[in-house]
Amino acid sequence: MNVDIAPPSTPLIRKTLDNGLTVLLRPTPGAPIASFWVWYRVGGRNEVPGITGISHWTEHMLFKGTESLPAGEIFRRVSAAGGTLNGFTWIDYTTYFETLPIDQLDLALEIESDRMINARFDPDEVASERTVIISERQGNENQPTFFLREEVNAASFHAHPYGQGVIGHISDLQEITREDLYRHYQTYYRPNNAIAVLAGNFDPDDAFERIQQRFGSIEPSPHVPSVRTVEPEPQGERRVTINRPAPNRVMMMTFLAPAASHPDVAALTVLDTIMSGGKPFSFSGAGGTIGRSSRFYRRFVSTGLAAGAGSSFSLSIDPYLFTISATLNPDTDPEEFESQLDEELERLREQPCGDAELNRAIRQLQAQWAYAQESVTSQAYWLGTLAVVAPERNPDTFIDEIEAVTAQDVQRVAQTYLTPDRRTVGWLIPSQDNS
Amino acid sequence: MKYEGTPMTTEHDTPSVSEAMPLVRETRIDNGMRVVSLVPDKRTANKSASDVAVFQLRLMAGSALDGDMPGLGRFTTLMLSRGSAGKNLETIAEELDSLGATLGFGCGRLTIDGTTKSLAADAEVVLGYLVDALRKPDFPQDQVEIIRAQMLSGLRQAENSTRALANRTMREMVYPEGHPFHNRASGTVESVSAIDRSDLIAFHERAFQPDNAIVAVAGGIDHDAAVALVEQHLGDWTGTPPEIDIQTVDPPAELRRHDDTLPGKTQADLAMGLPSINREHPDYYALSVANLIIGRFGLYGRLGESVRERQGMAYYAYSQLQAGKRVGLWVVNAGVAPENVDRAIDSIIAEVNGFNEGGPTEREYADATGSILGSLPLGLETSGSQAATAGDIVFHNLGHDYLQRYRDIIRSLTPEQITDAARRHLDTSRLTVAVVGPDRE
Repeated sequence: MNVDIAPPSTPLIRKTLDNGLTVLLRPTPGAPIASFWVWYRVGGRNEVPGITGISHWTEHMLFKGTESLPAGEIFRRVSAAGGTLNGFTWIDYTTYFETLPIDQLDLALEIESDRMINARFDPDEVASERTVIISERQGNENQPTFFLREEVNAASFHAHPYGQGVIGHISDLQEITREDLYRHYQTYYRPNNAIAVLAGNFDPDDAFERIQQRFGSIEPSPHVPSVRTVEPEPQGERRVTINRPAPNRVMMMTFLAPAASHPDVAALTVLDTIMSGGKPFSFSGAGGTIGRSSRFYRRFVSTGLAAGAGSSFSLSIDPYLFTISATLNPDTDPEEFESQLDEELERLREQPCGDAELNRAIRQLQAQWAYAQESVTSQAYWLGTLAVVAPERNPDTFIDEIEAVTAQDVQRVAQTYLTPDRRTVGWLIPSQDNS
Repeated sequence: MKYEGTPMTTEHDTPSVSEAMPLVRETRIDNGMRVVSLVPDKRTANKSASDVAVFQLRLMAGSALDGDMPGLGRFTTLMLSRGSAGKNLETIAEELDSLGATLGFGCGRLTIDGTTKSLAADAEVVLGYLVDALRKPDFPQDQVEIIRAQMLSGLRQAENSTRALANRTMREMVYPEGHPFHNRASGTVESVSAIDRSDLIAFHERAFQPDNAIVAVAGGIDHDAAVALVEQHLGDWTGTPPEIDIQTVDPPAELRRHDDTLPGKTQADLAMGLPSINREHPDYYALSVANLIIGRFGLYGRLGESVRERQGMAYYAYSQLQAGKRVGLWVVNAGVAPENVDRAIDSIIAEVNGFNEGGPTEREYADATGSILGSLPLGLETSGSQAATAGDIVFHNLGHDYLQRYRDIIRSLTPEQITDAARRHLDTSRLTVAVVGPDRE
């Protein structure tokens, strides 16, 4: 195949401070801006019943003030410097970033080193944030598909905490205390459980020295609890149904899939692309989805059976999910849809894809890769994600692994992971259908 | 490497690297189309961007031309990529996917945009697909039915969304019946069901014309090469789009409010609107700084601070100044627990009135202007954002040196001008308010 994707313009610099903080530096030529991220290896995965949602709530509290940066100051100062910032929580991590003009880099380093150790968790702020978190959950509940996703996720795991999701159960959100939150913070928000990533137009020696000055004196955590539970191999199909007022019938089907460290993830990424197009590598999905030639689009969307049909596979520390979902058009019978989907899955298991189809999928991923390289925020996002979920992997060669995937690999992973007895099937059936 | 950057305060003596801003280059070809790009400053040129190329083609037509068939412009635009120049959807999709390229279309009130993104080496091939879609769409009947079903499904989902419904209700109240912005651009179940293939063909013939169209390019394709490509692929296309008459609207004499409910919801959404200025109005910059302070800056400005942070009653509350080419709309959106709706509306109004009375604090003024000035380089990072910026500058007649003048425009604004603009344009006693919340039977 004739492709020409430029390799990253500069090598990745990886260092570790004495307190255990991993530092990844990716200097780039180009615009005078930088994106600085701190990733903590804590998320829904590290929660137990009674404190579900605590990682996400802790993330919010890190915007609510330290002695030197009172509540609101972080947003104010970064915005006033012309930067953007955010924080978010996922099953495997909690992360914060600032993207700003390069001459404002110190502000990002000050903020992140300060809140790694000095967040106050003021009881009044905890109380008002409880309302905000609960209304965030209620905002999600306004989307009927939220309930479907939550139920399917829960049914997909009967042992591993991934089944709990991230936002937390309403009962836990009503009861979690300031002490619970502070303990969580002190346990997990430490340099030896964190990764600092910087991408942008900077001098690496100078930047590393500044990071060391800001973060070098923060004490490591004496003990970061590990997650012991391993999800056992599924023993048969699981099914759930949600009845809610909803505009369309929606299906969600999950298969337990391997962890990011597993050699099969490149082939699963190509399989996902063959099903429903190449997904962006960029932060917040900028770049758009490609793939109207994909199998699902042709079979389900072009034919009018579904308003949308997609698949997703994301990289995770422990085995997570390969997910297929579809929003049906009103005249489509759910059973008929499922039997057509089963045919598609069987075809993936029984026959290798053709060369043209394979090459098309790989080319989509190469293009998404090139698109993500345009943004320092996206570059830092990818480096940090991979450093959390599969630290032993080289982030610059993941695209090479994808280019090496064969039709036999794709068929083999479909046979291995996408089998009926490893799946969970969920349906959102509008409640008005039953009345 | 070290930059001589000065701290981002509002006073600058020496231009730093982040001060270096590109010029817009524009070439008008014989049929009236304008090819535009940013001429990069060599100190800030982003090398890695050259792997990617973006074309953004904007036609001067949109859903304001729908007439008595709401949704017609949107429907026509959605059909463009479903078959053109004798190639069906499947063939086009295979060829674009085999390049990893994207081709997308959007229909606004006054504009129709077609955008491509590809690896730079494939730019010409991908431009060919964009041109075919705009000039020679086939409107295959089977695809007409599929797009109709998708639009109807989208309408049903919007009917089920508290936020979408609140915004729609507010807009329908602000723009009276008969105004081109009264109807939803996505149409209604009745209108979308009734549109047939000949309506789409007629809309295409009438509205899709090259005169004054803007082709913005960015990334690994240079201006002269882009002009040559546009002349080659589009130079023989001629025609002028229909005039669009957009009247300004007056706000109601006093505050109006409409409440609706939806079953199965837990949160209420509210939309508050006020007709506002267009992009070329002399108050635009002062009012956008006022809006930034009121409902955008940091975590949504004073509204976020009051409604979300201090009172903890909303997950979000923010404002937007939508200053269009002809008319504008100022909007506040908030998502709140149903029992807090009245309190949230009162406190939003109190915040806006407070700003109108006292104006920005010294710090708010410095923060807001610093934010606008500092964020300029971030907004020009990717090929997509460069093309969009160049296109917007030309669309709004801002001048080719706009980016170079922009800092001075912002620095010259005084707190008094900002306060005056807010007083003139943010009269909360004439708001239109729509609330959609849970059905509590």
